[in-house]
Amino acid sequence: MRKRNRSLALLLVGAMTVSAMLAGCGNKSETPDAGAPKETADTAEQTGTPAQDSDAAWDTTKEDTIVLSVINNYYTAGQKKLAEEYMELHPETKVVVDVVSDNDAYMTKMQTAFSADQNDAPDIVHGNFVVNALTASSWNVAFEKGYLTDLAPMLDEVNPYNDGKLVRDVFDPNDLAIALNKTGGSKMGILPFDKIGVAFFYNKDIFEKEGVAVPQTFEDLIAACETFKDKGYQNPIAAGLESSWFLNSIADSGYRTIEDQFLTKPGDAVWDEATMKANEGFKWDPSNLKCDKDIVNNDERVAMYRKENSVNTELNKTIWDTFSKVAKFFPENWVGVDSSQMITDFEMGNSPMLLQGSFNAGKILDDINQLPADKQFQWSTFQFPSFKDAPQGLENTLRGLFVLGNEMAIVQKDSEDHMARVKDFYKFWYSPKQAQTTYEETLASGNFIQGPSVIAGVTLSAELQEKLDGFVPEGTARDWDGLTGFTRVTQADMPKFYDLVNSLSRGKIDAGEFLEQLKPYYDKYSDEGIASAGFDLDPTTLDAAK
Amino acid sequence: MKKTFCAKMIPYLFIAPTVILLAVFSYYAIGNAVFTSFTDKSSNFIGIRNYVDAFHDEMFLTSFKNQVVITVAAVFFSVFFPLLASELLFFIKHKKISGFIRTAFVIPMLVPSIVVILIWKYLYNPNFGFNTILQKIGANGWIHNWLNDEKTALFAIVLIGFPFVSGMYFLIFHSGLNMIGEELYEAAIVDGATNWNVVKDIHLPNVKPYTKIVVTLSLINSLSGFGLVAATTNGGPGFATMIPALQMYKVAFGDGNFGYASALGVVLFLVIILLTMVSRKLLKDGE
Amino acid sequence: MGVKRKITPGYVVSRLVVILLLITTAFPFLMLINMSLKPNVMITNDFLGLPNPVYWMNFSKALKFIFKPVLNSIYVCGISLFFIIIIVALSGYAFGRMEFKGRKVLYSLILAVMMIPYTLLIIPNFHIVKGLHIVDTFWALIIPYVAGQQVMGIILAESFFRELPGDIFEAARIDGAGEFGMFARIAMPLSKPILITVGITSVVAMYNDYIWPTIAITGGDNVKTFCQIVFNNAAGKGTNDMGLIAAAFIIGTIPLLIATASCLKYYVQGMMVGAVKG
Repeated sequence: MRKRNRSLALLLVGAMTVSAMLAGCGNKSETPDAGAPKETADTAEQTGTPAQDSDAAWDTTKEDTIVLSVINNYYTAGQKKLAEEYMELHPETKVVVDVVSDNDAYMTKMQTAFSADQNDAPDIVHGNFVVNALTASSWNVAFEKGYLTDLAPMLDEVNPYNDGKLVRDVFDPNDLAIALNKTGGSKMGILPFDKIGVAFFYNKDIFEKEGVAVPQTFEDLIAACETFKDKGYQNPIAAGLESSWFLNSIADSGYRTIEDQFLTKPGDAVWDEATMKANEGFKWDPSNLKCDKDIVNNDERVAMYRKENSVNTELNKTIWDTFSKVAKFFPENWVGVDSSQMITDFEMGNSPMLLQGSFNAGKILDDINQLPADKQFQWSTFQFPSFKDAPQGLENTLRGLFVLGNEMAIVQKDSEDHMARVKDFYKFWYSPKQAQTTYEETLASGNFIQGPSVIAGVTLSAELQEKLDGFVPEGTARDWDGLTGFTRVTQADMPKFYDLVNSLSRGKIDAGEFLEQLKPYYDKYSDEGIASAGFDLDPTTLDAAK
Repeated sequence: MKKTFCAKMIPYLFIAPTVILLAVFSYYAIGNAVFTSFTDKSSNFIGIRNYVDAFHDEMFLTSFKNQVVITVAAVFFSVFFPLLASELLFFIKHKKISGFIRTAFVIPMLVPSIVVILIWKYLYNPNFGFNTILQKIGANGWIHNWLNDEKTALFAIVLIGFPFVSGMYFLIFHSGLNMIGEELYEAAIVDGATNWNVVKDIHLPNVKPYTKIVVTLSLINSLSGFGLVAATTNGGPGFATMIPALQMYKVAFGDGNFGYASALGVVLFLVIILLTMVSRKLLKDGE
Repeated sequence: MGVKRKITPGYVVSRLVVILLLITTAFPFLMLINMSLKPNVMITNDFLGLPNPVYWMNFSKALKFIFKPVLNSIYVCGISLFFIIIIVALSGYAFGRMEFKGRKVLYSLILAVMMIPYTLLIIPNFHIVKGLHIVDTFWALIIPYVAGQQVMGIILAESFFRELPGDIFEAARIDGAGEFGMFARIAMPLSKPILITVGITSVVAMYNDYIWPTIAITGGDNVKTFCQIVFNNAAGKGTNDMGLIAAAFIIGTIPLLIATASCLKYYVQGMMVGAVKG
């Protein structure tokens, strides 16, 4: 009984830390929160045997540690808070938040951890980094090799931290489709947490001073850049690696018209009626920019397209050629420069425009407020402007980007008891209340939100919500990097790829030559991908990863 | 007899801890690397293909060229400037002042290299740092996007750390100069030698063993380290400033291609050994 | 040396060069202080300018997270240093002053270790540390550090011992001192300067290491080392908070500064002894 009292007390503490905003959704969600797992805790204490009922699938008498390994990001403070709260509910499980400072170090850590006994690797990791480092970006190979866990079955389990509702209940089916699609189409490597948008930031004062109107079309954008260039602005658009999102949007205006050939079809080995219904008979409808929001790609069909057409297609030539008209106004070596330099260019008034993600909006706002009065300026954002007169092969409307941000996956381990704990923590984190805590804690520790939450029930202040709304595009572009070839080469070849992009951006080579030179690296990467996935390039048969 | 045997064993006892630690942490690793270098990504044995690939890898060859430039500069700077500083310090006889100067040369060594590198990165920023100064003195023609321009990037990297009075090398030369026996100076003073004579005839010949060490250490550091390049240009723009150690790191931890990475590593290892042996031979005759 | 110095052009030039070298050498250090007193946006907008007004937030932020990791680092570095110094002195002495079979070969083998590219060491070392079941403990840092840092020390110490005048040792041998006696009573006291150099260099390297702790330690914030925690708090969100990094490194460097400053005192003494006996 001692335990129950403690749990209740802790629950109170936990509840108090949640901000006033949450007060509305109070009682209902709190009771089951501690109820289900705590009861089992008591049972286990009395009987002294491992609890076997569905709510606590782990032995509550035994201590265990789960490790959440994250790259330092906006949510780190919130994650630490969650870990504390979780440990108060479940003292038998120690939750460690292991923070790594940068991407390279994280990659190294993952390689090293998976090179030894996987059972000792961290439990919850950035899935995208694991697949980048270990399986040439293929999620399916990561599942087959047993690195990562398929989270799809978890969707239909009860989330004890959300009023006994199912895990899937807090998600928009559209977001689940995106997650499914992102992680290979047949299994789900991550659950959605938040979304990131991208836009052009622009310096209103400079636009006014130079008499330039906010671009309404792609053609306007080019004209504006040219005006700025003439007026002495070296780099009209401050842009870093993230600017490839604009390339992706251009690509989307072409590839979406043929996207039906990449979909999983009935009769394919990975076909799943439940999640892929939207695929059936799908055809791109130019009048409905959202018509493809629920469709799911098939890795093997994409691989087939890549193998058959390689990268030097007419469509890619158009896409890259169009992109290079904008990239011409990017800074030197934009593809290799970190975003802090770009942001500085914008903040110092050297570049009238900046191509950036929603996750840096808060920082930019804060920075500009800290500048001396004579250096401050007014700024706003605009979405990717559509073509007035699109090049042959592309549609006029450019869809913006609005992608899943935090891609947390679960590492596969042998011990069922351990897995149950990890999954329980994951559910805890992805419940409305705790997701809210993550956001609140992030703001409270002086950080910014990287994008709106996709978990139903999370609410943000009106002011913040409004700012983030500026990033929500009308219809979302799908991810075409795999087909345009953007960064789709091995890490070893990446510098060569950067070199080619720089040459293209500086007009040293044209799009045709660019793709011709990219081809060997792209093909090598495609072939490696096909080999490691074990694809026989016949989607109707099930293949085994090598 | 027994005692002699014990006496014979003493040196080995002295070095035993070193050898054990190295066997576990280093020789095992290099053996492992040599073995891995003959395998592919899925650990199949593929003979010397990785090595053949390495010598046909355009980037690896560029890396080596860059490395030569960086290393030659690094070795020269590592000897010249610390030696200059310790010579100058040597002739300052005022105890308090010389003590202060010595401390002042050593303290910056405590600033971690990553911070120094980040500061230099800011100095090379296209919009501030050196360019601000150049703009102020009206040398607009000299303004460059230092680290992002193929023409200037390597040069910019080589100059990072100016004036290269690294605390350790400075201390080595400093103690080297102070180790020279008094009697040599006494003779020189009797001969009415100038300071320059002292430097030329007494210091330079006697400081040779220390030079040899500094050459060895700076050679090895510059060949095996990649933090500097990784933190400034990451090998870019394109691969204009790529170096073998960084390339290897990318192949290994970016792609998980440990076979090829190990092959690159073994080649690099052999080159370092060769260069070190040559440089030590060249510096030998003065001893 | 009591003679009054003449002011020659050479004298003036050499003093000027010293001052110039000092200023340029100290420049990063001065920049570090300057940066620590500015908000990040002012570092980029006015890099060379002085703080106006002085911004103390970086220090107050850094103070919140710095203590425990600094203690962890001191603990790790202290124990490692202890072993490094002993091992370096022993091996350096053996290679520098003893004759034994295989000396050259063994020395070359040790020198070769320095040339192994670090990338090749990471995974094997992780496997060994795992095999020893010390992952997530400070020993996972200490043992590899000792193994790695000793090499440079041995190379330095070897040449130092080699350069020591032989007659002191001869005299001791005649007095009946054994190898160990000579090592402990003659070589060790004389070798203070070189051991201090080795010590400072290896402590700086260990104190500021970041990649190995990231791999070997997964135990959360309580077991993080100094450099790790600084970057954890100030880097990784797309942009580095250079002001905070600078402030944290200044605070974290204080223990090193104190240690180094007090060692340099012995450094002088060590040299004096060397000079007198020599």
